[in-house]
Amino acid sequence: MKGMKDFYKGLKKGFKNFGVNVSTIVNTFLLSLVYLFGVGITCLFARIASKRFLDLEVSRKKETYWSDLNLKKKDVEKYYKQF
Amino acid sequence: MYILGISCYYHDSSAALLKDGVVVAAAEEERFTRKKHDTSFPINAIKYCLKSQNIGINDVDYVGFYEKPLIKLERALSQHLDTFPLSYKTFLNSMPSLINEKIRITGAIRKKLEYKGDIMFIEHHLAHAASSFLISPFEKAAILTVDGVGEWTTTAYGTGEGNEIHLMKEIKFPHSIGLLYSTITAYLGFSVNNSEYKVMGLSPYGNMDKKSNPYYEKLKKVIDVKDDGSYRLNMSYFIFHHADRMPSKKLCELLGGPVSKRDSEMTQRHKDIAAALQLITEEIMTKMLNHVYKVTKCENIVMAGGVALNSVYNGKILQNTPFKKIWIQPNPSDGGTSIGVVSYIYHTLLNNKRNYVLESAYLGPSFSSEEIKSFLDGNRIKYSKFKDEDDLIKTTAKLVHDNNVIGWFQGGMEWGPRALGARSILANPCNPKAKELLNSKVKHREKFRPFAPVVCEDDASKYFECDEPIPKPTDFMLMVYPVRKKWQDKIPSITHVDGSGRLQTIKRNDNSLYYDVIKEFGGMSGIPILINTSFNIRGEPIVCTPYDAYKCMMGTGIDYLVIDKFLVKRDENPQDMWNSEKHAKD
Repeated sequence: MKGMKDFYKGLKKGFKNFGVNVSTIVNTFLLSLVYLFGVGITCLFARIASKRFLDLEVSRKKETYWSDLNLKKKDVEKYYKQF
Repeated sequence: MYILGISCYYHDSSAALLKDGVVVAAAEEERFTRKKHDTSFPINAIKYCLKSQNIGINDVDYVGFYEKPLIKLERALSQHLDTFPLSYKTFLNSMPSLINEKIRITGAIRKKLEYKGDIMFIEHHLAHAASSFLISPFEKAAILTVDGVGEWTTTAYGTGEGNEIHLMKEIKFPHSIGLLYSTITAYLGFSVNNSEYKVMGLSPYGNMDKKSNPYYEKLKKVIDVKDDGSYRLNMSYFIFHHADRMPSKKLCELLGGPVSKRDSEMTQRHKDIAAALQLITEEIMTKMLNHVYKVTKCENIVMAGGVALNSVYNGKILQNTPFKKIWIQPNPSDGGTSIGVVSYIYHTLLNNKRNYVLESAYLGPSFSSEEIKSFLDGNRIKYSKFKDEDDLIKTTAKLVHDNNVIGWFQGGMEWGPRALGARSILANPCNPKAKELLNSKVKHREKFRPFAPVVCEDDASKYFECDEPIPKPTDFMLMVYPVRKKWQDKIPSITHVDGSGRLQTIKRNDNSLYYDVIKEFGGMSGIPILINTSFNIRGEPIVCTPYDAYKCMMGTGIDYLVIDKFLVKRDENPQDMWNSEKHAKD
């Protein structure tokens, strides 16, 4: 009886690991497609339009790097949103 | 009214519970799961918060989360778009967690907690600002928040007045002092989001002279700082915006060598780099604070964010800037934002008057004498019971005076990364070998790291060159001050190489037992100071339960455990529970 239980436990663990491995492979494949076609193509158009998503410029001429935030209390409804 | 605050999925997950404007419970998840800096959903911390008030989740009126997840997703996507194709690996690694966990936080709260009420999302730096200002003693204050990164913001300043907070200006990702500090931490072979304080502790061993430390000028090349303290990183020296590592090859070339391996020996070069980083950080922070004062014209400053844990600099703020008073809460980094969230919802969004100042950090789980006795009896642990409080105080002080190492477990667990007299290891600071003993037998940590002293507030100025009046953050071990020269030789174990000490001050009405033990020890030794270090070994979170405390004692060189009104002697109990050497890691 104990042997059966151990066998069943091992089988379950094996199936779980198999499932994890399959999902990793599928995720990697799908995410690679998204990266290549989604991120890649958007990036290509952005570069053509000279659009940068991160402001990396360091300018000795600038007097300050502080930018306006003006974050204060808003309508309560806005705090229910994730953005 | 109950409000529950949650911070998770980045580092140091935590939960906090507010009842009618008063923070009644707060804890970090790592203490329950025993995984340091645990990032997971803080289910155990939440359960503790609810249990502490004997309520269920649906007695909670609001749940608040410490950031806006979709804005964070936007930033992550912007990073990938801007650095395509370099970000391929991090895209594969980070996207599943972003999509499955981070932006599904509402679902997680509803499902894991079975919560049906309102859920609110507060911007990350606003949560930091609220975590400091709204529980501070100030009616009006300037606010500065500096951390690695929130959604986009890495640094922000503004003002707080009454119930309102206004963050006026910001610096955005990827430009971040926190990430600069983390990059050098990684470069020196330490772990990021964990060991930044080690770099701070290493810095006094290096050359703190700007002119003769070669790395000072070199590191200045990686960051452009304006007179108003605003700054930008030269991103050619960094790769954290597209890789899972932080320093670039160019930074390694600049600093004259590759990234150090974990646990490698610290050479003078490493120490000088740490010193240069600390010098630059202090320079930027001073410029920034002077600018904040100029803009806000306010004499009180409150700070939050991981950089506010830089206690070496915190101790210099009142001397180097026009600010007269300072406040930092015991847990200023991301873990502390859960308190910010609940305070912001209650005071600012719901317009309730402020009626609470966070005076005590003992917001975590506590255990009754009956529970502790039952644990000791249930595990056949040999122990004795103190006759009364006086016996406890005198015996503990005598044991410390006789150079024993004491595990001190009393009352509610501390909120934040520092042990403040609830889950502490106490030792004799007058013993020149105490540091060596603690490092080799108990803490297993790097030899260069100093131990912290605890002193009664009324004695602090006699032994330390503190600001006067002594700022409240000193109670939370957040300020480093010089040890007076006269005493440095007499308390060598807590005097760092530069003559400083990261002291904790204690008032009798905050923790009378702890205070009285220190005073009693002072009566025996002539110096009312103890070594107070966190009750854990390296790589483990601070102990939470009696079991954790006993396990930690039995696996280390701690001689006695003073747990509630009971005394457990290590030598009287079987010592093969575990070998802490095996567990000591970063």
